[in-house]
Amino acid sequence: MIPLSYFLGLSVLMFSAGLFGVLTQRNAVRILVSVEIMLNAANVAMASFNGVFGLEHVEGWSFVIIIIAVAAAEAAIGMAIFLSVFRNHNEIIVSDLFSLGETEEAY
Amino acid sequence: MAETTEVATEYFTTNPELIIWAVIVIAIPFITGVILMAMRVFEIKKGDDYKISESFTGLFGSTGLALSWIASIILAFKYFGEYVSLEGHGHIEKVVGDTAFLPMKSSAFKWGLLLDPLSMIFLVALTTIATAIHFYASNYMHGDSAYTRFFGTLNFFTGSMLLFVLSSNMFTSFIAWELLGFSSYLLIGYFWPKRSASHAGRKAFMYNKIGDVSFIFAMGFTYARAHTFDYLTLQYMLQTHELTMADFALPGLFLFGAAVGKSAQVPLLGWLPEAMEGPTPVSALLHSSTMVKAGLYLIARSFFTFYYTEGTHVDWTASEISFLTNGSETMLAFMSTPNIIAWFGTLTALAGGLMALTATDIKKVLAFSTISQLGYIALAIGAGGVTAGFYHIISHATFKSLLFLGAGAVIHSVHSQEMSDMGGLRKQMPWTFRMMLVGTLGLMGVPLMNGFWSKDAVLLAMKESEVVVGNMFLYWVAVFTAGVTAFYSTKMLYLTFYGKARYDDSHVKPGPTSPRMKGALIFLGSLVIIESIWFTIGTLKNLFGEDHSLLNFEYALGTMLGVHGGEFAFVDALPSTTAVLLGFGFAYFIYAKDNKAILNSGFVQFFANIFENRFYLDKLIYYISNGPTMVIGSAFKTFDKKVIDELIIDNIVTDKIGFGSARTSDWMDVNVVDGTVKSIANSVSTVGGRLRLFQTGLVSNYAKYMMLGVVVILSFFVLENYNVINFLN
Amino acid sequence: MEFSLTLIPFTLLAVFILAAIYKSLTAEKTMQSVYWLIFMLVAVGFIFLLANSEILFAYQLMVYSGGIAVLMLFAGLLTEQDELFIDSSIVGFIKTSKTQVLIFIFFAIDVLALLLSSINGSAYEETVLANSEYTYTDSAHQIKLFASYLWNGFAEVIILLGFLLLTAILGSVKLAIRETDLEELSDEYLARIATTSEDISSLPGMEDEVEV
Repeated sequence: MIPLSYFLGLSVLMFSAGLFGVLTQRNAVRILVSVEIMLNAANVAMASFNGVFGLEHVEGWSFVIIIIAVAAAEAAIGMAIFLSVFRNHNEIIVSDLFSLGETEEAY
Repeated sequence: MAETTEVATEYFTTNPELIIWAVIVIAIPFITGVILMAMRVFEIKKGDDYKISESFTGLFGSTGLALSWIASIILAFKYFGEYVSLEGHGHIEKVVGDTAFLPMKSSAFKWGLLLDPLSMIFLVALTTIATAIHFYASNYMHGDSAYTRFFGTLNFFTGSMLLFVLSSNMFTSFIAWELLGFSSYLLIGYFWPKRSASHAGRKAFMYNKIGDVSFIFAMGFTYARAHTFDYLTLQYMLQTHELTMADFALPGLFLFGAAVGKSAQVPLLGWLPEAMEGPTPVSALLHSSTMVKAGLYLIARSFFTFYYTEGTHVDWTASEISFLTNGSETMLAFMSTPNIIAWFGTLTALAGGLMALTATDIKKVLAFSTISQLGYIALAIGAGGVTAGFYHIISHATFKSLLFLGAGAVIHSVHSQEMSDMGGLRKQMPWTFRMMLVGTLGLMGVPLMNGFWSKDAVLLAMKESEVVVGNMFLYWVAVFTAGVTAFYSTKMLYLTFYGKARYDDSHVKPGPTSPRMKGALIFLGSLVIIESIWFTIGTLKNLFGEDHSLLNFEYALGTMLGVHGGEFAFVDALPSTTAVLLGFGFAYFIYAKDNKAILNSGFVQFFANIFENRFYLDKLIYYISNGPTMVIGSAFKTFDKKVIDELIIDNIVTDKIGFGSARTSDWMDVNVVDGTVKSIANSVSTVGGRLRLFQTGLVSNYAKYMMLGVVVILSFFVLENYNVINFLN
Repeated sequence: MEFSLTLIPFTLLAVFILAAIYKSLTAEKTMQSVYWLIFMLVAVGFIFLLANSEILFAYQLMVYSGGIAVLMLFAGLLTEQDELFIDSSIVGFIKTSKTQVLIFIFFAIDVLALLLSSINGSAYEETVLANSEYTYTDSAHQIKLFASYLWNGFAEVIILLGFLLLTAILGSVKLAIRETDLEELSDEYLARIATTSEDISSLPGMEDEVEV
């Protein structure tokens, strides 16, 4: 019997770590990895909450299923975008893709 | 004063069928507009040479409007037949249909349509005129490179105006208001590669923005006081004394501020003459029944925020800045919202008329005349004559659209807008001349024309007003403006159609107007004549026979709106008619009898100079907006030079300390003073450099700062939750 | 709080997950990072088991650590840029990304505090915990319930999800097709390359005047 707060603590730590990764990583594939970590954190929270409600409740599961499907779509699209960006710019380091701002201030 | 209609506990009814008709009226121009714009995108994709056939797009756009026109007439018949009866004191029901803007907690934000006599009459007038203009434009814009875009934006523009007219709450009105501003920007800047046109579009947009901000303020104040935006609900809350007139002082003032921007009142009238850069049909539509009328329609719609009639008791809003008046009754009346509207309106009427005197461009003359007539309408509403103001809105819409279309036909055949390039066109363009003549007579207010009746209603409202301070003075100013109107109208008509032909014979061959344009002209011209006959018969019946004939437009309107109106006697029209005759006589004397030498005297030239520069209003606005910025900047500069450099460095450091020890002074100067200044400068530049990093284009940086914000907000909630701080409860 | 044997595997798994995340964020090569991600995904699957959600465990293993991970592996392989930009030593790491570390710490503390305060609140205890049946379950029954639940209440959502996935697949195929492959050999392509630099001045609508 594991207290709910343990699950939530794990989930929060995972989510923060994923967020940290999104903010620090400069390689687009690694950013995608971090996003997956964040999604998994949400899944853990969903599943553990669902456990609290007992046998007759499966709502949390359906959310997890939906999140997994969306994550699959997102990963596929992400990969395709990275490939075409890589092909056009020969570059997958997001900090070097400057098309939104001025170029000289390179962080 | 006539008694008001009884206030029912159910202050509006619902009727889904009528609302569906209203939605059809609004939706058709929007849909055709969007389809036409999509076609334009398709054209652009296909390349430069590709063009969808003009006859198709022109017909498509005009048919859309014509369908909307038919639907609006059906709607008006259904509405007036079912809900309006003018027997006795009149029995009016208002139809409202609304739905939530988005599923949200506050119920104030709604899409809503309101059918009442005011919106119905204006709706029919609007669609009628707009349809004529569309058919006219389908010929006028022939050969234009972006014909499809023109019709797309024109339809879209008309659709947004229809939405504005029918909207039942301030929120929907505001959406339509912004759509109007946006599409008018597109239309005014239609010839955007021409620099002046794109400037004009931008100017109109910026001036209108001031009004928009004012509208937002009005909405905010209204919401704070009443928690609703519905016009009818607000009125009902006033009638049940849930709200008092004092609550509406600020919203009313800001609503008028909105109208100042949109309807080109003093001082924000600079954009309207510039808006002549758009194609002529656009000017005709913009200046007759849409756009500039939107502001005044808003005031007429929210008339209850300025005046409130209950039985014989009339109440009006005193502005909330009454503490400035030291309790003086006169000052209090002077600060009241209606008084402000009336004074601004009169000023606008006079200024517009005077500026029209010196304009040489035929469209500019009409533009200034529009400003002047808008001023008339504002002064009528300010003086309490909402019926008179609305009367003038309708008659002005008809004759001004007719005049613009006639001017367009002239420009089309002479290929110039300057009146010095015209003259003697009466022979070549007989029908255009006749129609322009009808329109000009209406504008001048020649007896028995529609302009005469409505203008005299306006003047009468001002004369009888108890609220406006100095109403007799304003009345005589308005009468004087009537003379000025007659003068420039005669001048315009004479310079265009009479006298010697001044156009270049070798290039320009003025011919009769093409059938479709002529058709639109004759249609609008006959509308003016029908209106004139209707108004004349109505008023005469009222004077010499039946008491309060319902044929009398103003009286009927007054009955429908629950206010008084339509008490006219020929004696009241005497001063204005004299002024019109004098103005006409002067113009005839100067231009037809060729006494132009008078115009060259220094006295006239001095005033002409002021009028030509539009009373330096644009310059004033430039200085107002530019001045404070520059003053603040130069103040800092002076502070730096005088205080820091001279006072501290030269006086204190060298005089006081420096005498003691030159070396210390030097050290002080270099390290302390310069050091301080430099470190401030450096830190500013460092902060600037850091701040620039916010705009690097690095998505991860953006995400970082966003998350910082989220963390701060979350911390706030955590501290709240553990009762460390207490803001929310 | 009474001690339960399941706490031991939970703690082990949690430590493993956090370690895997740490490794995946600081790994030298992108491919290593993806490997660690896969380990983490499997461990999360076991966490689902501990939370009495067997079917989620199955899904996690099949879809996540099976399908998605393979996609990520491909992305890593095809872009083949391996540099790690953050410092591998802890001190340098903190120095280069102060703000992010701050965000990490504060975010974790904030969210945890909010969650704990809400699940320890009296309202939560009265409503949820009073009805709680957090015990070992008859998994077959629950999965049957889940299936009927999904197909009764969520049928539209699942169909929508199918469309979403289909669109994603089509979109990524479209993105991944090399347009230049088709054009590279044609003369038009070479001509276009040559003229791109001159195109800007001759855009339509840059003339100063138009016919009115």
